Amino acid sequence: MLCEKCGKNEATIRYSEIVNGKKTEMALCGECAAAMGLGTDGGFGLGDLFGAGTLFSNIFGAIPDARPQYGASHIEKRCPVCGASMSEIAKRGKVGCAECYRTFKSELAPSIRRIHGDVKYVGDAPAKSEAENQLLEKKQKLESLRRELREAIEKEDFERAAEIRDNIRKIDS
Amino acid sequence: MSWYAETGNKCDVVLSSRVRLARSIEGFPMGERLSDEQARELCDRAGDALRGFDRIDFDKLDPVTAAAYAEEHLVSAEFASSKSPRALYKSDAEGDYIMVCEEDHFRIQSITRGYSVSDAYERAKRAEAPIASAFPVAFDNDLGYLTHCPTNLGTAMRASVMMFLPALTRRGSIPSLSRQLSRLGLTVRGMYGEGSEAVCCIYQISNQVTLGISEEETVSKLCEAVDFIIDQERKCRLDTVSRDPESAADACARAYGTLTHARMISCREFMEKFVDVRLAASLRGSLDAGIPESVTLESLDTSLIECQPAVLTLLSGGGEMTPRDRDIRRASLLRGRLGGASDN
Ligand SMILES: [Zn+2]
Ligand SMILES: [Zn+2]
Repeated sequence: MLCEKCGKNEATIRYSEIVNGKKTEMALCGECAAAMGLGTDGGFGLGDLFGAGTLFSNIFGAIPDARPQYGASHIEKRCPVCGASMSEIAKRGKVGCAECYRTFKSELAPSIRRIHGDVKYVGDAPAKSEAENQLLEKKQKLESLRRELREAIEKEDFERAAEIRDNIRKIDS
Repeated sequence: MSWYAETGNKCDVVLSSRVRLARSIEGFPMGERLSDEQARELCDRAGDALRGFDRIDFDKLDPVTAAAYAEEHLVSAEFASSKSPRALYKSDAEGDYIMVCEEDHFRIQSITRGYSVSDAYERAKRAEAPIASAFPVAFDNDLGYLTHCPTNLGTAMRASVMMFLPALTRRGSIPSLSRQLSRLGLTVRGMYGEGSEAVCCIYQISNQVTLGISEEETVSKLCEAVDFIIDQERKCRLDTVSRDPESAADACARAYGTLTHARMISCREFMEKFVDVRLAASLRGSLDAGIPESVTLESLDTSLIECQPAVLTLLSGGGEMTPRDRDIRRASLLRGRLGGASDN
């Protein structure tokens, strides 16, 4: 595919821009991308991710709440764990802690989409700790016993119900 | 034993396989926001979880030893040169290297010799287990593992293979290979810094994409590409040799002569000659360059690591050395390791 700007070179970079909610996409060659202030390697420089590059800052500015827009009187939202604000995260291109991803979920979403595309996580979930595993196992066991208890009572099998109730007490203690 | 001194699968083209997992811990700030006390706490608590690992505190390590770890590709260059509290937990026998307080709180890395990405992945998962049970690892159902830099979100995994591609490099095939790989979400990088690949022909091929693709898929996608590249490189080598066996043998024999007879050799010249000698050592059946059987891929790859400046300085006792001192020492080391005609 040829570069949509100069029409001469092979396009190596796909660039998308969101202005006022309208998305435009362009395929660019390395030269044109560089001339537009984008990384020539086609990747995102760390500072560029959240708005240091000229075009990226335009995109970023088009997203509400991405930066404080009301001057000094505006009180910035801060992460409760690390104290980072969205403008500090944008400047570094990196979050201050894991909680930042939850605190600034909507503000970070467009940048994350721009890096990774519109995809959701697929893969392993973290291994649970020993204690968490035991707790989970106990919870599942209790749930299934309670279900059995309800069934026994419905069937008026009170002997069985008493047995299950004793089992529940044993596990729950 | 160090990874480069072992024998392995398809070492004629693949030097090593590695898998790196990045993990952050809930409640701890990251990067510059992490205080020295919090960093030390993470390092210490990691030690309680990681039994059987050796701990090396990099903030207390002399710069030459730290740089040598980076030259052996056991830690990143950033980790080796940073000043803040950080520790490496290593198990040389298992090939597991866990950096604590690198860019992410934990970078769990498993290195295997030759082509064995699945094995490296299994080992990395095993090394991760004690961390995951001792710490609340930061995870989100939509974003996966939460990393300091958003580019690593998802599996936060980097699977890579270090490849020796002299034939494809000389044929000029690397740029187009690189373009094809990037379409598959993979990247190619020179192993010894920007522009070095043309000299030593060693590349790292790794996954770029981490979100929306599972760990197993990442491994199988990488391996599919690597299988293809191995095949192409081998064909291209045989093609070159069969077209002009005398010239090929001559180049390799001359390179071997330089490595085993020079009295001073720079790192760059060593790497240039290394390419032809390693090529000859992996083509013994089809190319006779008169290189002794004792010169194996393992001894060559060991010399590749030992000839790097910091490792070489350490091997010479760790005292201060000028580049000239190193060139002399490098030449004598090579005569000892590779020479049949050595007088040293
Ligand atoms: Zn163009
Ligand atoms: Zn935070």
